Amino acid sequence: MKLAGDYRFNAPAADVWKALLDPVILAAVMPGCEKLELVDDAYVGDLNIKVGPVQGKFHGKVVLADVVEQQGYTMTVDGRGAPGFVKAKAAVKLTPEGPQTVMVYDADAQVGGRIASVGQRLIDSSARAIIKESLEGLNANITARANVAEGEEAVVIKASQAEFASKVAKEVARDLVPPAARTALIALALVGIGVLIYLLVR
Amino acid sequence: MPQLEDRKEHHSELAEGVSARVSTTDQVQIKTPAKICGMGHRKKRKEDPRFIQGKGNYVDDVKLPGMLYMDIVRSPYAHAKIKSIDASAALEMEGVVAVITGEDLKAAGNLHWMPTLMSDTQMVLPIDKVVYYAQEVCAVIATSRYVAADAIEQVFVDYEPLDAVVDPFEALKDEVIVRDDKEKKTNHIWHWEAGDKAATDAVLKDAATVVKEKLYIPRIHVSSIETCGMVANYNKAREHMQIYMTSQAPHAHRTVFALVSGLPEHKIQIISPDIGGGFGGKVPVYPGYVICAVASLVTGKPVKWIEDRSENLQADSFARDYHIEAEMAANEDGKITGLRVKTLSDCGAADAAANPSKFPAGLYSICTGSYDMKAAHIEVDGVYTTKPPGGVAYRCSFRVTEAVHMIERMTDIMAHQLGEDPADFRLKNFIRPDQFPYKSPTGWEYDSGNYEGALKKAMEMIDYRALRQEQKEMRAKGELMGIGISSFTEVVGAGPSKDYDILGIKMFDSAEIRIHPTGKAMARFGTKSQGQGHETTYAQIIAEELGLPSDDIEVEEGDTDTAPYGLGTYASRSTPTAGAAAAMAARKIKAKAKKIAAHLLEVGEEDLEWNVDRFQVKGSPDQAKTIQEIAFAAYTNHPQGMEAGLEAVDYYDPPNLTFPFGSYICVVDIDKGTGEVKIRRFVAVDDCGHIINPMIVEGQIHGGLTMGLAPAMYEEIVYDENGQNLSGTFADYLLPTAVESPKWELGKTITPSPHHPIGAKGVGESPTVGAPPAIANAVVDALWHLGVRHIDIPITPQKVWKLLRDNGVTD
Repeated sequence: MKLAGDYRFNAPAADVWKALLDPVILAAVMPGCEKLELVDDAYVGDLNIKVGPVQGKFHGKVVLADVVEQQGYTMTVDGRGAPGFVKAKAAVKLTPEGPQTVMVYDADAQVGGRIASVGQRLIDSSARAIIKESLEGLNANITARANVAEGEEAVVIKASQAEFASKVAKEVARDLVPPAARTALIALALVGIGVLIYLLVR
Repeated sequence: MPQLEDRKEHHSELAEGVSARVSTTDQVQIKTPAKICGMGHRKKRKEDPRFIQGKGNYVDDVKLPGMLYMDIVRSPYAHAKIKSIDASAALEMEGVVAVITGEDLKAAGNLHWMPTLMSDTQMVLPIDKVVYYAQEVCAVIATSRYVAADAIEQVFVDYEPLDAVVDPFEALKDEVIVRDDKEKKTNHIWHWEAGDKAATDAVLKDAATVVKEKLYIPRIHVSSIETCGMVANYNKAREHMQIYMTSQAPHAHRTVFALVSGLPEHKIQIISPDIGGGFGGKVPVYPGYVICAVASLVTGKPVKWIEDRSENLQADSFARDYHIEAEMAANEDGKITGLRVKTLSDCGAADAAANPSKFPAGLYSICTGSYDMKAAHIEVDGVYTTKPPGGVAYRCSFRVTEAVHMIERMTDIMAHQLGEDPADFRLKNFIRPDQFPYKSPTGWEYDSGNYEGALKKAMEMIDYRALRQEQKEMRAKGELMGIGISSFTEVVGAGPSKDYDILGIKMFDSAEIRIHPTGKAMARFGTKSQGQGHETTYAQIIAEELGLPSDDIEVEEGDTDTAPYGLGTYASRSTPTAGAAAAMAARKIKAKAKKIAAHLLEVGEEDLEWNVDRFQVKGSPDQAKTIQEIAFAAYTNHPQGMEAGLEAVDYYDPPNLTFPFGSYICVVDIDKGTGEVKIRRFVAVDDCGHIINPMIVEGQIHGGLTMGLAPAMYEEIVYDENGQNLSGTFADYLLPTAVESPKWELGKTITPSPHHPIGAKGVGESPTVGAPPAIANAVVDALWHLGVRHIDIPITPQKVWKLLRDNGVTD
């Protein structure tokens, strides 16, 4: 599975870089992340992942290499758990653009086990949703930090599971429903919800 | 061998009514009145009242006191070393009784390996390496099904992934060795040939036309409605193992269990209760069964194991997976002269096909089909890959589906290539009715057939010539319509003991009939129905022979403690073998009944004649004794010196296989925009010899046609390059439902088998075998003028759409 894309942070590269190497922030923004520690040169942690009908805890290790301060790194991900395994290699690059920083990522992931065989239709959308959610969370935290007054402790903004679930659903819908039908489907869903509410409050 | 000779003579004497001369009719023969309901009656199935009321008794319905539950930890890798298995967290959970690993099985007497039905070996649980995705790694035994399912997530297995080899052609390079437990470090398992190579080469060299095509018959799964399961109940005090098991062959499984476990065979009882579909998938012994039995031995308690749907789809034996390269030759007159076939059989991680021992590629050499040709040569190579093992005969005689798909596709390609109508081309090339018994170039002796009769009937039913005219007109308008024919020959009823055995056990089958004093009967068989309706059809055979109403005959199968030994039900063998045994056992009873009747009527045996349900004095039909009167006398007034009772057993060793056949015609319309194939009509004319119950035969054909539609258009087990199964649920492994299935229009011809005691042939699998090429031929027929020569099944809208786009029909 190839996962490539870019993301624009509203912060200079130095701030983005700092956040990217901060396990506390990373743990907060990654949906389902229960634990993340920096052990030697690797992040080690537990991640609760839900893909379609499959969910379970993954124990993973992320090793960073080719680290160039404020410019990027490559990472090797090795995650295993009851629902299967994930192995990935990813390249992350940061480029400053005025006050902003553009991140370009390119990952090649191999997913196996139950999560692949049962959840495979949803893996792409779920993975994209996880990445998007994490990066948005990261951006929110970086912005929040920049705005913190001198001497005050920055509050870590945590990812919301409900918000994440709705984002996954959106990604899945984008993959499975053709654009032409999407509006109609959403309209239909809204009407359905309306009818339901009417019936409930009547 | 005087005994064998005696038996043979005895058998041929009992096999009355069988003649070497057969003719074809389309009328079902009915000799008994409705109250007796023998052969030919449309009797409603005796088993259905319990099924439609939810009163069936399946393995998962078995509940024993103190029963434990098993769940299995499966490998997420297709190929990996096992570095360690840490079950401590699972063992700490409340309700977890034990975790069984390969090491435990090894300690219990090397039970971590088991023999396959093809004399290969297969892991029950691994010690150091897994060789396919979803392979059993270890098992958790717990006090409830839920605890067991939760506990498998708490077993931590440390794997070191190895390269997978998914493509059998890659596997032949031996860069990744699947089975490093073997002495020879190669993935090549066996090479097998049939036919005459030199003669075939010569025919192909001199041919006016040769067509060549590569075909892939994809890996599919039987996906029966009931998954596999077992309840093993070891009684330490009695040293007795009672096993409830989803088994198509309970006796063979008992022997295998005895050989593998070392338990004495008389202390093993296997009960195969109601089975929710087998289709070949419940012939192999799966690791789960062995682990479950060991778990009961270890805990001394009953242990239940029921697969879930994904386990069933991902780890149980697959079917097909043949990579075929075929060449067909024809002369100037458009007569087929020869066939050369090379095939790679992807066996997965063990050769665990359920084939008769002598036939590593099953009955694949039947692949000259319904056509008379001079020469044929077939080569097949078996290869290991890191995929689940199997190779079951999914609703077909061993590998016949692959053979029929190939020959029917090649025949169509040749007809089109020569510019001949596919129907006329077939009629010209068929084995003629006067050529039977027909000796095929690969050594088969076809018992009887009338191929042109079946095809002509199908053409008449569908109005073939008018359809061709319509096709011409539609094509002129740019519409895509196709007509596909499949005139298949099946080969079922394995088989004669001379050539057929499984692990050395000859492939006979058996019937035991006991007539009670009041004229009711109990009949037991070595086969095992999984939905075929044996309780009805066997009773009708006995009713036909003895004149007992079929409702007065209780049929029982599946309990090895009570049923006579038999090889089980698969490959459409029940009627050809056990059905014959039923007739033969009934005839043995009839011979004794005649003696008793002569005694009762005080006449000589030679003065008696049989009339439906009684022996009567020749010329004086008033003087008669019914079978019921005779049965009563057998216990109350039998002749001096004669044994009391009225019962018989027969172990029937068929002299040959039976060769059912048929002609199917399929009409499709193709949507030019989406590539969707719509089946407009499907006419199926089947010939299975004498029909025991027309309604059951029609039901089997309906089901079989739908199971033929499935691989033709929907089913395929797909793996990624790492050996991950991408079709592990019914969301991705597509089965046709009533919505997708067309209206099946059935017709029949009846050409009896000359060697079968009641002239019957198997039928349950003919439609599964015959339907896929009819559909594929119809689709290619619709696209031939665009340059399309072949499409591998499943013919999905994507494949057709791509062809349409490549040929500029759509964009």
